[in-house]
Amino acid sequence: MIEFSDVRKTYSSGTEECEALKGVSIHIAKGEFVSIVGRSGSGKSTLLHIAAGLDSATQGVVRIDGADLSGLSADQLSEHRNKKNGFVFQSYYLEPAYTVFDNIAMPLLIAGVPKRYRKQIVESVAEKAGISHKLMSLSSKLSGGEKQRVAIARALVNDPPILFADEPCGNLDTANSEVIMNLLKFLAKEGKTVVLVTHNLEDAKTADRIITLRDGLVVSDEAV
Amino acid sequence: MKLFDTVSQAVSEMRIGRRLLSLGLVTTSVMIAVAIILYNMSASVLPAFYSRYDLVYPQGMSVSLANAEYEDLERIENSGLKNLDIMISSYYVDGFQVSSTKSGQEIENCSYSLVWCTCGEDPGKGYSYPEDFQMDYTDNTSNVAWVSCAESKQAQFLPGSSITVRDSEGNSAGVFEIKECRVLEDDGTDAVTQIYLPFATVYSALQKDGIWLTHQITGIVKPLSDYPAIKESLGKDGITAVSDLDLNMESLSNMQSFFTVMSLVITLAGVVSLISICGMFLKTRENFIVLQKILGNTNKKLIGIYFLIMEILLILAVGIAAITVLLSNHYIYSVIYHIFGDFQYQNIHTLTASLIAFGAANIVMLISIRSIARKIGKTDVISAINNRD
Repeated sequence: MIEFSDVRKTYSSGTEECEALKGVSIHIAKGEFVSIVGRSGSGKSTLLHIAAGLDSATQGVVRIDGADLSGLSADQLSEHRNKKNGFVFQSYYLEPAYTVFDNIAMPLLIAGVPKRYRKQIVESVAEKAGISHKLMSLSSKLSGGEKQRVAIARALVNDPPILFADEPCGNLDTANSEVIMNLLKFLAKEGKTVVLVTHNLEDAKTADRIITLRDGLVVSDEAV
Repeated sequence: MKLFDTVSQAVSEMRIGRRLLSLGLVTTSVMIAVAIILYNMSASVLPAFYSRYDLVYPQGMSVSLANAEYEDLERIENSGLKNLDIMISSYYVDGFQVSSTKSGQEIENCSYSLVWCTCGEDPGKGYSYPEDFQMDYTDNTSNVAWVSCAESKQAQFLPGSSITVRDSEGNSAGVFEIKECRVLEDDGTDAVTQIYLPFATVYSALQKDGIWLTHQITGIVKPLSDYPAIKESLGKDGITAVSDLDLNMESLSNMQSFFTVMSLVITLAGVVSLISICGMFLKTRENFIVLQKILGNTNKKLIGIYFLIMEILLILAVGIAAITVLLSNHYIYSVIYHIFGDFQYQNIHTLTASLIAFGAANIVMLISIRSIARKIGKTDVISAINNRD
């Protein structure tokens, strides 16, 4: 499903260069729930961004379902992100001026799904994420836990095979964190491939497998 | 994303940034309205001025022509000048003498005029000039003369009789047949006899004796709005038309240029201000753009959304400005009316100016869309995510 072969990523800032990934090779199978852990600066977010097609590798090959991401044009990558990936971020990335419904429907709008189908799809994923009772509320009026549920619902609305979650519980209290992690686990059981980036070991243990990064290298890769 | 979705999203974006965009809309509308008024003034200032002058000079205005020879008269007449006249210095004309060919006796107490007969608007009818004599254009080169005199002298100028005209040096100006003699109402015996001679005939005759008459050709322009075209037309033949209008025309032309340039500058300033405000709005939407890109929207579609927003704003701004000016034209132009006079150009000019402003605004907008495209293209999703997280 997701395959990294000797992937390197170097960031340049003026004359200085920083190597965030130093040759990472991993394989994540379809339906796996994988946690990527590591200290700050270990390269875990970089790995997630490259896997999600938000960033590109400096060297090496990244394949999703056998397709090399580096061979896709900008527009093809955009379509890939829209159709194949769902994203959940620590800071939710909701549009505060939009209602919950409009936030969740955003990927459908981009995908060109006709308006008559959008309502049904949005209601269905909102139900699954446990946020259907707030559909007409402004997203700026929600609590942190509710915002993350909206973000998850939005990530699921196009029914993507892969879900990327970057520190989804970073801004949440313990109770809400537990709800969100259970939701991710449930989705993985439903067949979604879930890639979770976290520095919280408790959250990481919810996954089937934990990959540990240190200074841009995979130092361990073991089942939970 | 379908067109309807793009429009819908553009409208949503406008709703979100309504305060900032309203500020841009109001600013641009006001500036374009001012630009349209200036443009209208530019286009209307000359017609208004001529209109006022035509009221003040119902008989038209005298135009004198420099570097014009009598051979040019037909050409000058065709240019549109009316009531052409040729003035010879009174010193020379007063030096003519006339004698009867029948008796050979000199006829005393006469005053002379050399005239250029113009056709007027209907050559078939001739042209009444001066003193309502029926003259024809062909009379200019003929040997006919017209006389007005006291009843007591009428016998000397019976139509068909001839007179001989010489200058004070005895040079022959020709023998002329009296075509028409008109009796003056005042029958005083000392009334001066006025003899009108065709200019071209006298001119040619004296030329044979090496005498060149210096002359000044004048004409009348009416309506005054014809003057610039006449001046330009004659100028091509090396003839300089001079009138009291010249000084005013220079001032008016400067005023017209000022209004035109100011109109353009304010239009551009208005559009630039709208674009700046849209840029500020775009900055507030950076997170939205990042989110859209993460979720798979393309740069082209995002540019399309913001292009649409700007296009809608421009249409609204120019539309509001045009409607405002159209509604207030009556009040605005009543001021100009009091200065220059009555005219009816304002509404057409307002619409024309609106279209020009819209065109100019779009050119600027299309140029500036490049910077928006650059902004969207350069938006770095990764750094935005990292900064936020």
